[in-house]
Amino acid sequence: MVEPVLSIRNLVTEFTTPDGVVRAVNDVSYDVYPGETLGVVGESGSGKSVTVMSVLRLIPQPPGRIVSGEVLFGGRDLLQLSDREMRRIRGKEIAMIFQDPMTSLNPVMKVGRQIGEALRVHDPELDDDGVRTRAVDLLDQVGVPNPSDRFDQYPHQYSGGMRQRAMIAMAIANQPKLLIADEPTTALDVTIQAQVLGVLNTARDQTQAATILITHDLGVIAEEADRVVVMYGGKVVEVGDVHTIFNDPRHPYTVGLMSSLPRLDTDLDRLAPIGGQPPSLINLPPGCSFHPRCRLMRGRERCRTDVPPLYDTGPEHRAACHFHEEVPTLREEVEQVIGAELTAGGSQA
Amino acid sequence: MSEEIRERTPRDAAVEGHSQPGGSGGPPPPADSELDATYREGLRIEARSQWQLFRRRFVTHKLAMVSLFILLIICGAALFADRVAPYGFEQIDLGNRSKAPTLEDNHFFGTDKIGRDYFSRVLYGTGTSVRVAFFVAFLSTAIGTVVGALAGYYRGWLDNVLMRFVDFLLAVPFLAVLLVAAAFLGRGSPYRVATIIALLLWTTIARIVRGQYLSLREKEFVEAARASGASDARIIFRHMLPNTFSPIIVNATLTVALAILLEATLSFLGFGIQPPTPALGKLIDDGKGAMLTDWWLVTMPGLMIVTICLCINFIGDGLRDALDPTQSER
Repeated sequence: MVEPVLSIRNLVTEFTTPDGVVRAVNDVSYDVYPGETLGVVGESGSGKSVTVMSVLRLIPQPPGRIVSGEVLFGGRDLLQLSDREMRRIRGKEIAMIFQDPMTSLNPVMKVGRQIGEALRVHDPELDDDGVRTRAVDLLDQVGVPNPSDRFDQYPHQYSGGMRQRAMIAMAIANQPKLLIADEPTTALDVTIQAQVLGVLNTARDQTQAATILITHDLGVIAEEADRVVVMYGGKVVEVGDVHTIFNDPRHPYTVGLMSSLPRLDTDLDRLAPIGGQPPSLINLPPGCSFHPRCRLMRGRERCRTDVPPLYDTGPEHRAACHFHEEVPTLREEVEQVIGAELTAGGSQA
Repeated sequence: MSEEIRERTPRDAAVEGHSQPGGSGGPPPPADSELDATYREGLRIEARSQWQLFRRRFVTHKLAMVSLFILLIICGAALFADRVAPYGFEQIDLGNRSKAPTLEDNHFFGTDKIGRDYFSRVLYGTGTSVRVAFFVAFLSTAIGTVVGALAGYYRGWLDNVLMRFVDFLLAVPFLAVLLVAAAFLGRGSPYRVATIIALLLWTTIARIVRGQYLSLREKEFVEAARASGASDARIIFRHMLPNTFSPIIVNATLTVALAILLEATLSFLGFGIQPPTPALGKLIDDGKGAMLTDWWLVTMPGLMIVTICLCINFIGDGLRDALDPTQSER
């Protein structure tokens, strides 16, 4: 078994709000292995972003607080490092790509200089010429045309897709071991999304970095991820490799997510969303926090009282549902409702 | 390097073909044909820098440009008074006492009771006042920016302590503090007076900068900088500070006008710059006894103060309009 690059163990992160304590990340554990792309999916507020922000210790404190857990990276617990040691890891060993390229570049700094900043922070000896050569090189790598001219331009002279490319250039500037992409394509339109994902792929191949890809776009996950973590209400509800997750999901929430997508193989008049609202993190439902919206619960008491652990449901596949054996049947029913035929191999993603 | 490329005409580039980008140390040229080089050259969009945009907007602001012109002449003449002034500021001519402004003998602003040329005195006085004012603007802006930046960035107790101190300074009667401070700390030397004024004037800029930092610290690019491993100092001064330049510059400009007025007030009350160094406020003070007979003794330095302050305020308006990022041409 290969050693994971990053191991998150029992992470708990809370925010103090006027209405009470929000447990945004509630006992989350997952691993990222070298070279793989781990997709993290879930609704808004499911704790996807807060988990990775906790990994980088970028949670604003207060109101945020990492209560407990371990984040093991290169044999060290990141949560125990000093601020100075942590700074050396950020941007060098673990780099992050943010969601909105329109706002994550400094409007008054030339793009080249910003990439240069990322380089300089970790290599103070680098001189202006060195910065220029490296930054132009990076811009070229991520497919920005005329990189040496683009170096001297400001972000507002870049288009959205270009800016995201520049962000990727900044992220891979120091050859990180782990890339965290927090909804990197959400703010872009579909054609640009595809291009940026392509750039991200190339960048990852060149740097051999493991990637955490956070998104709520299952299409992106199917395309890019090797393994998938599904999060709900601050918890991991299902982990598995991408084919298993798509062909044989074992959590009703995952089934719900997939059946709420528009599909190519059937004529749908309406989409089939998951009923109800995402849970309030201040006041999580007792037991399985998905039970109020779950089609599989069928009034069973156990869902209301017992918090389901992650059951092993197959090789490298775990799901947090007491009745995970019943999920394939549920899926069949749902598929029938939708009118799709569940072919032997399942609807291949 | 890029300047050199920009100056080339498309034809030059076409003739030189693909050797051009390679020769300039850029990335390896993807183009092989002359056509491609021409094409690329033709497509190159000339990006206007922030500075160019700012200059274009400022230059079209007529009032500000006229004010800048007048102010440059006044400041130039005042700072080089020893060459421009027709007389020395202490040169006594008892044969020409209390003369009204006249072109005769270059006594444009007349003479005072002991026959000193008032134009020269006002010029030297303006020089002192302008130096003091710029020093005040520089010092108070520096203090205010650092205090505001720290308070806005760190928030919490530091913000509380610093801002309550600012509130305190704003709550005490300004002139009284100024007079007491001047009386105890330093009459006389212009730079001492300037320091005292600066120590009271940084509060406005501190509040402005704090406000800017409070909103900037929530911006994603600050988080991105933090995620790339930048330290607090680096984020505060390299990433965030340039974003606050516009209000700082505008406010610093207006502080110059305010400082001239305050220095004049202090000197008028006798707590500011002491003779023999001439200063505008001191000139008005000296002239007020003979105000009814020799009207020019108060009017001329007074007009000078008004002109300078008006010009500076107009320039400030022009800067504000020109620097407003929401108006930037995209």
